Amino acid sequence: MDAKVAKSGAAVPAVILAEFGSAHDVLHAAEKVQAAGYRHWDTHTPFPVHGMDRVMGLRDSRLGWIVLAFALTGLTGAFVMMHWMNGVDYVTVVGDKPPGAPQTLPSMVPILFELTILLSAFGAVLGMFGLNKLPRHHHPVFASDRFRSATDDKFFISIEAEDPKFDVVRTRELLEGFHAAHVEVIEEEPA
Amino acid sequence: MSTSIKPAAARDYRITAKSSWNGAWKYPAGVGALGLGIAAYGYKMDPDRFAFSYLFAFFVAISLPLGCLFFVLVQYITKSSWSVTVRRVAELLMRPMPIFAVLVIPLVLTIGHLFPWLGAKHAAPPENDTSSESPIAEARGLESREPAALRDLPVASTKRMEHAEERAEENIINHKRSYLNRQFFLVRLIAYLLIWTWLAQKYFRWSTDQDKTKALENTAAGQRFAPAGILLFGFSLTYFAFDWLLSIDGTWYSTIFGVQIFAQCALFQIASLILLTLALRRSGLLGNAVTVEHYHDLGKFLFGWIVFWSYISFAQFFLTWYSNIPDEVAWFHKRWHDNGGTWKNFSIALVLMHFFVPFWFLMSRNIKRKLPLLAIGAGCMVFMHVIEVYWIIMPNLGPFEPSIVDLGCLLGVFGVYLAAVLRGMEDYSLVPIGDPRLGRALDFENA
Repeated sequence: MDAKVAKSGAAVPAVILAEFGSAHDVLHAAEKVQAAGYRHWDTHTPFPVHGMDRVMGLRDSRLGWIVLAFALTGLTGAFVMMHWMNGVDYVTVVGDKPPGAPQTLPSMVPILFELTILLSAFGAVLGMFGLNKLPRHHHPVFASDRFRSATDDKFFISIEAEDPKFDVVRTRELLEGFHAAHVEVIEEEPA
Repeated sequence: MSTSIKPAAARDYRITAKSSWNGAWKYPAGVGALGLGIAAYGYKMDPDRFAFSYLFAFFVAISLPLGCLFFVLVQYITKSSWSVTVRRVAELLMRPMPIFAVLVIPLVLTIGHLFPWLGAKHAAPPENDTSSESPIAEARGLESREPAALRDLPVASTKRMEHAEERAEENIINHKRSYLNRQFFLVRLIAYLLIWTWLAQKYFRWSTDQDKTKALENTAAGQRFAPAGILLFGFSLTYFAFDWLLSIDGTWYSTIFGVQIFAQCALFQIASLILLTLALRRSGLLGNAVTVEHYHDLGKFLFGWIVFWSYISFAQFFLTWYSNIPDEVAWFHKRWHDNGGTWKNFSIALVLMHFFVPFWFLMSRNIKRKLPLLAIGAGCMVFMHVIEVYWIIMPNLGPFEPSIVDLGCLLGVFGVYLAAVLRGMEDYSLVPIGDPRLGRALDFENA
């Protein structure tokens, strides 16, 4: 149980990291951490653990709504663009269909569809980045050597110092109480 | 997790003697017999009408086992584990494939009434069209689709044009005679039915044998054969669609038509599977084997097929509409302006209720996971499938005039098929209890 201390003596605790040996243990611990009232915390597992969303109290992702907003923007944007170009600004008669009339709608569908899809894809990727607060160059958990195995065979819970309930001693005791294989306090110089 | 291997076959998921599903096959069998009686009466009254009504009923019924055959093949080809608990119900739905070899006999006997290339003359416009248009407008269709230069031609010219059109139609049909002739047509029909029956029996046997033997070889064999099976299925369904649904119209071309029919089969199958498993689950026959997680995935499938169907259907319409070649647009005109405009509402209903409303309705994850709402979506798609098959077949006969013969044929053919399905359910487990992936399917969650 060694606290990793950064170079300078002014370092303060940034994150407490607890390591677990199985998905069952981390799920159990996560349920207790959530029940203890922590808000700024996360779990790190090598694969999706069933039921984790529920015990962590995560709500449905808002990504779908972001994508929908982008999609509708693409749809209306495409329609306005084509209608203005072919029906208003430079009236073009194609295939004997009166410009600007509902009869021309089928000819617009490919563009309507493509621009909807294009903006949906942008919305999905950019929205995912935004909701995950990416790109992010650094996080205190990367100071831990043990944390590397989060992508292999170990399961972690991290509780951030900015959490109102965070207390180096008591939070550490809480995590140790859940049969954590290892608990470490990661310190960092304040930015 | 090492704890995930549950005693998978803790129960055998069979219909018990006390269950209301035991002997339930007698109801559809009774309704089917009544329907076939009405159909026989319909044949005596009007063989033309009967042939079209029966083709409509036959295709509605056979599209379900065809969709199920595809579903089962896809589950094997992708080695998927989530779907194992619902796969058996699909297999039971595809099991009665052989009865269609019997149910197709009335169609074979009446093909002379169906196909213009066999001399059927149903496609001629009705003589007593009482619409208020002038004879000129009537002879050449509605004015809106005519170039302005033709609008003032005298009647004699438009009559000459009509004759020219008939000759052109004959030329097109003559051009197709090496493919569309009675002998080759019937040989192909036998080939389709043999392929489908063979595939369905093969996969049904592999899966149900496994219930007892737990043999891994059956799963391996199913996976090995699935790519060839899916090719056979794809080609046979495409040519079946060209033969029986496209060639009712002698002049229309659409290379994508087979894909559109395939999309319909797949959509109908998923919607039916959702409804049937919900009903079985309500009776407690599926225990905890099929959960909200499985319905969520079936709902995604349903939504995906709605999008696919819409894409293909629009592609088919769009190319025809845009090029505006008289031989080709005739097919859509029959379903819009022509036939007194009686099919226009069907066309609009298809756009709204087969695409627009269910697309928005089923988009949300929450709707897919609320089973009564998912059932509403699935029910809508089943109903619209019947409407669409009606819309594909009947406008070739003439204006929309609902007849008791349509309903009689539908209840007759579908009733006989459903009776065979329900009878088969009594003899087999409703979940493939010998499948090696059953444990994973029981534990399945959408992460």
